[in-house]
Amino acid sequence: MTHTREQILVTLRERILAYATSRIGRDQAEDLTQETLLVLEEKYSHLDAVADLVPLSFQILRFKIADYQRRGVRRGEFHSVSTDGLHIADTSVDAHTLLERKELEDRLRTAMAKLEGRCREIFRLKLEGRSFREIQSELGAESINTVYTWDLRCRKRLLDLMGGSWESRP
Amino acid sequence: MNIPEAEKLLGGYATGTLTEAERATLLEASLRNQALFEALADEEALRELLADPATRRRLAASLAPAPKSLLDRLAATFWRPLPMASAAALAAVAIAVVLVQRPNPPVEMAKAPSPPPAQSQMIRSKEEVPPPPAAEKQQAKSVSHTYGLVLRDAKKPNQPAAEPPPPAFAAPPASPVVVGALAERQDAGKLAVAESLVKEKRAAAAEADEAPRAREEAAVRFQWEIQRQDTAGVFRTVPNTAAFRAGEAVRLAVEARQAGQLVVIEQSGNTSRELFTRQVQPGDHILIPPAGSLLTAAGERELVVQLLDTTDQLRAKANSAFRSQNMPMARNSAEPVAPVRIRLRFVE
Repeated sequence: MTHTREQILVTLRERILAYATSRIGRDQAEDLTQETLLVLEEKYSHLDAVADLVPLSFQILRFKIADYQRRGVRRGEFHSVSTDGLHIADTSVDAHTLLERKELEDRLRTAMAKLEGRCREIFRLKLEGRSFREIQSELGAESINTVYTWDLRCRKRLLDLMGGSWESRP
Repeated sequence: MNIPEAEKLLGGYATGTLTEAERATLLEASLRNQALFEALADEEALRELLADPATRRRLAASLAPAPKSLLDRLAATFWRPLPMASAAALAAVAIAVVLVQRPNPPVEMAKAPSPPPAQSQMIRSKEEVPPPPAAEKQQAKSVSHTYGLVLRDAKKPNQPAAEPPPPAFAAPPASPVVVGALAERQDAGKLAVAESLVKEKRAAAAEADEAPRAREEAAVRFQWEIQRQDTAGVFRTVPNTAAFRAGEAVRLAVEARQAGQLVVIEQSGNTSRELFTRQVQPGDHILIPPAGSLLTAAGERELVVQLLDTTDQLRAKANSAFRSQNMPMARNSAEPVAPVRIRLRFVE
């Protein structure tokens, strides 16, 4: 199925809005969706494929939500003027981001250590960069669909071990 | 591809396992299904993390199967049908050979009646069983190499098992009463050995439980030792529990096992002073103080040693930033690994 860029963005808007609403509430979701689409429009107007626009929207959305949540935690900063547009150079390492990554990696490693047998093997092969087709031949599965099913179950198992969410909720 | 089928590709998105076609299918499907879109959006943090090759390598390494020990490999080899059948056959042959070559049991020893005086004499001498002949001593010695643990325990004083095994066959014919008593003694000996082993195991487990967790965790990060200067002027390692004379030259030697910030603080009473703070790399040998000796005036003092890794430092940095902005602490605001406390006692 081929979509025009406009069709993709219209669908994306619906999806992003619903997602953002479920995460941060309707009021902020509207703004956040608008900001995400604005970035897609201003910076990535040359892209028109679903395979490019959707992952990009995930990235932008994640940054926007993380930014919103961090600002939301701070007292009194909800109504302060945003410094996003001031372009102040910040060459130092973002300790918070690094810490979040490190914590996620630690949680992931702990959860992965609890995986057993096939799941452990599948995740190891995936992390080594193997495709599902290669994993199929490595594990001697009859069909690629079998590997997809195994992987779906293993992903669910890993997600359960991580408490139902990849990111630890604030 | 319908939605449930596309869902099966979810697991390959963050790990970058999907082919171009699979990826396109999944993303197309996500535009048609809100749940799939949300699952993918939630996966973004994971995808970002796994986009870092170093992280992938670390995680993959943590999933790699551990190298099997020699015992495991032997067991794996043994439990195959052919080796098992061979072992069973060998065992059967060995049993057959033993049964064929086995001498008649000394039944007369149990049957022979003995006069009452001799009986009472043997019973009296229960506590002083004669030592085994030289040949048996030699045999016991060779066995002790094989079963060192058991015999080492058996040699301990104050334990019934410490006595040499009763010379059941080498001894002159004894009465059934004596034979029974000796058998009881043997059983009691075995029981005592088993009890002592269990006690030792329990004591070791209790000791392990009591060992400070900080020490175990810190050992992964660094190793330390206390060194004292001998009369030749050379610093030599001393036991951690050693007491020192006031004025002796003493220093702390630390070997870093991982990168981080090494902090050493000396505490004496209510005062404390920082002796060392520096970034160290794995394999670094650090002497504290680099030259000379620690303060060795009479009294007790404590050295607090800690190696903060990057996570600890980042956490501290983030928490400090949060505090300054009156924000809650980082989610995982647990304290870093507890420091190692080394107590030094200097006497006059």
